[in-house]
Amino acid sequence: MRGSGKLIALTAGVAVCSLVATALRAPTPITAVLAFALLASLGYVWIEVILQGRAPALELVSVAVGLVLAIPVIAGVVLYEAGVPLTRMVWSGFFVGLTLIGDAVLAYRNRSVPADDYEDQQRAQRRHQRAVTQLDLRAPLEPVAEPTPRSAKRTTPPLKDVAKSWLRVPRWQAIACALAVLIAGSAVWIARAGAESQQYPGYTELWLSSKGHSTSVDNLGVSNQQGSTEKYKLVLLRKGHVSATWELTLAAGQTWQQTVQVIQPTEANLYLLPDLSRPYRYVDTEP
Amino acid sequence: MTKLTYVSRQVQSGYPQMKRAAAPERPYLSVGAVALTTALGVLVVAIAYTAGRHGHADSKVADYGYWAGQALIFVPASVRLLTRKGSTAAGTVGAITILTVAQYLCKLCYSPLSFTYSDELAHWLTAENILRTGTLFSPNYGLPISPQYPGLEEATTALVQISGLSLFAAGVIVAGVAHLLFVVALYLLFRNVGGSQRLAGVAVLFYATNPGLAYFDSLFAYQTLAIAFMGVVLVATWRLTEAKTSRDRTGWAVIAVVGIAATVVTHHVTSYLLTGTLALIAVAGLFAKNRRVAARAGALVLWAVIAIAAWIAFVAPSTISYLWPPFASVATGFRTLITGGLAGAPGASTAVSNPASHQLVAAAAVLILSCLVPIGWMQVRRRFRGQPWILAMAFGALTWYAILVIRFAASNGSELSGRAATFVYIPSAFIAAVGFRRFIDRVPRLRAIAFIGAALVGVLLMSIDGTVNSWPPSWERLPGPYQVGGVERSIGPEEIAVGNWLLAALGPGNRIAADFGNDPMVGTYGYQNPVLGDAFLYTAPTYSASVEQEVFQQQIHYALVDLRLTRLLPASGEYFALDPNSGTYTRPLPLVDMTKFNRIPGVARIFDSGDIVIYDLYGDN
Repeated sequence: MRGSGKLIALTAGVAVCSLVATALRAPTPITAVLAFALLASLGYVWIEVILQGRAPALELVSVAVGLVLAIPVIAGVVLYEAGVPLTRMVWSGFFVGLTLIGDAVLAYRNRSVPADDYEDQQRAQRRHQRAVTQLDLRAPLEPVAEPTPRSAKRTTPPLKDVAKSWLRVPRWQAIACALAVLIAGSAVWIARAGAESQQYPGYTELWLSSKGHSTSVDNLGVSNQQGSTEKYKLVLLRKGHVSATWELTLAAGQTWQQTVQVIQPTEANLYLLPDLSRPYRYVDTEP
Repeated sequence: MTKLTYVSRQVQSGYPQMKRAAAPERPYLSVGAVALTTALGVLVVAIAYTAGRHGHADSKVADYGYWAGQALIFVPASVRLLTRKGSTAAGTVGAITILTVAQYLCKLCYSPLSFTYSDELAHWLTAENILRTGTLFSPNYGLPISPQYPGLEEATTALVQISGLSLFAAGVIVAGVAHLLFVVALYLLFRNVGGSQRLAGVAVLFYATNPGLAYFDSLFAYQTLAIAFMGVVLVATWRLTEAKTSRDRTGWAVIAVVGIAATVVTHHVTSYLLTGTLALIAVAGLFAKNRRVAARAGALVLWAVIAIAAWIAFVAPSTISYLWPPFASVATGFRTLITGGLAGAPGASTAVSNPASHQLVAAAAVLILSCLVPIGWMQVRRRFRGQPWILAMAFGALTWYAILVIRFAASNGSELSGRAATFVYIPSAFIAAVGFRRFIDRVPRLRAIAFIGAALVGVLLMSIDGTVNSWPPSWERLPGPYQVGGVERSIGPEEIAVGNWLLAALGPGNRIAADFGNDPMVGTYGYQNPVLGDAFLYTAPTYSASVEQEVFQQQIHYALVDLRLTRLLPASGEYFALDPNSGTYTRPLPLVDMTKFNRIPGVARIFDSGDIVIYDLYGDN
């Protein structure tokens, strides 16, 4: 099986696995990895279909990323207009289907086209690379456009050659880059930890409200966000007279709610115990 | 054949042919060293942000730490891109990628847990609506135009659906990838048009000094994705205009057409400016008597115009009313400028003026680019007159001077010119890099080293300008405790809890008056319809009949009163959106003005969290 054939099989396999993981509601780490693999497959397959590798690698990768971002943008509108809801299975099925269609096109094309002769192209690439490494601002222009009438053939080397070129990166450079990734990761971790541990002043919410004034029943509630367990006394007054009282002990983050009838001017005073001298919070329906 | 084409392109470029093949030199800074120092810079910035969050937001040490981190990020990449010793295409791409990723990580470290900037919150809400309803175009009161351009949210929610990631994580990934894609696409465009990876590297470095790149163009906002599409379309268009075979033409045309459609769905202004750019290329093709370029770029212009017109007509008719006020403001400013001169032009509406040192840096940076662009033009005239893409860049660089005029002419010129910088810097940075190359060509190697040193200082000055006069502003450079009239520091747990309560207790879409700091929370977390131009409600000493009439006219149902406005001055200089007293406050608002609603018959006090009180102005009526 030729290299491109293996890639077609691989991308098709990734697509099917991703669909299965979505259907089975696999854990997020698995679905996330498969989702990125699916999108990479989609980009690779369709750039191969559209451009057939006839551009420098960086351009192909960039355009593939752009295409992967553009596909859901346009597809979302088309699906919406078709009345299809944009749900998990729809998106997954769409991406998988598109990848498999691309694979089918590539497989059909591979059957009818003889094996590419990469040797000439590799020689051209090496010549090109030598020229590029010698360039500076005073140097002449590198041949960035398709330079020859043979441009109909692919100009990117096969993956095994790309892998070999990566292995030629000096070891200390690779170590420095790995260290840089670690440091940058630590920076984000420090920022997250700092944001999570940032202290904010505590507060207590008191409310007395109804949606749309359609009923005479209001929702009376207290939420303790002081950061610790607090004791409250809630006093409900109707026409200035005490109608009900509640002694509340709320843990940090806990909320208490009660529906009350509001058929006349009503006021609720909340005291933060032990201070009963003045209301800590108060709400009313109207004076 | 390859060699022959190679030589012919050199002759075409007007640059001397390389005489001998020198052995590759070792660069001053390897990519590994650039990556390491840049990562250290990100770490230092993250530590400064953490210090800010833990009580040192106004500390000089934290501030110096922030600047030291920024220097560690920008200097190594600049050295690598400006020096020619050991320059390689891979090294240039590596330095550009490292710089872009580092700047994005700094932005992430500013808001590492959730979106906090008001534009990001608005787009987050649109994405939430898509996830919740499974449909597009649900109303978004925080930014009503956002659902009509749902490209970013579609891409993000699609990723959320297939990956299971949170919306924040998916948004950070999509915005980050789009940001990097845009910068790499710019590099590819500059390299293809200019024919040199070093020239492209310098041009991207100049572009990176643009005030919008590090923050506005990497936000989770529609422009971030749209400019990435724009970059890809321009690269594809260049390939299309150079294509010799029908297969190449078809392939690149498909990419350009899809990219244009995606841009139109994603962001209004970017799609218009992309169309304008393609039209400029077509005109430059005619000017250079290159019919192929003119015809192919012209065909793409036609497609873009059809797509834009169809989108506005059938999906986003409110675009015109949304974009009209800023355009009218610029037009009025120009009219005033022509009839009354600069003295007659309305002043900039910046509430808090930047410190004098910032303005000095800005002036110096403007001067550097303003001087390099004419030198670049001269080079274009001498050497590139027949090349349509470079001619288009040269024409486009004229906009650099146009935005300088807008900065002074329009009432909100600073903001408009800042927003326009994203696009204006593309041709300007390229032409400035061509001008920069002129010096490199002229001076001998030894003096060139001194010149590179001077250039490094100049680029650093421009990048400092891009940082100090961009976002976050000086009053919110480090994250920290709550501040009145701020942006990201005005949204904390208490405000978010109030927003959640608004939605749960009142339902969506109510008209609510609030201050500048709380407006984004009301419109996004609260799903409410915030009222702009509501300063009268808070600054009036009494709830008079005229105030009540205005309340009914504007259909204000609820008033959110933040009592911290009576204790603190606004960081941004304005308490309210469209604040008539913007920039003139010398003391906080009187408590009696803010609590006047307590005594009004028919007005109910429905919520109290200590700092924030909400009144139902309709009461039980």
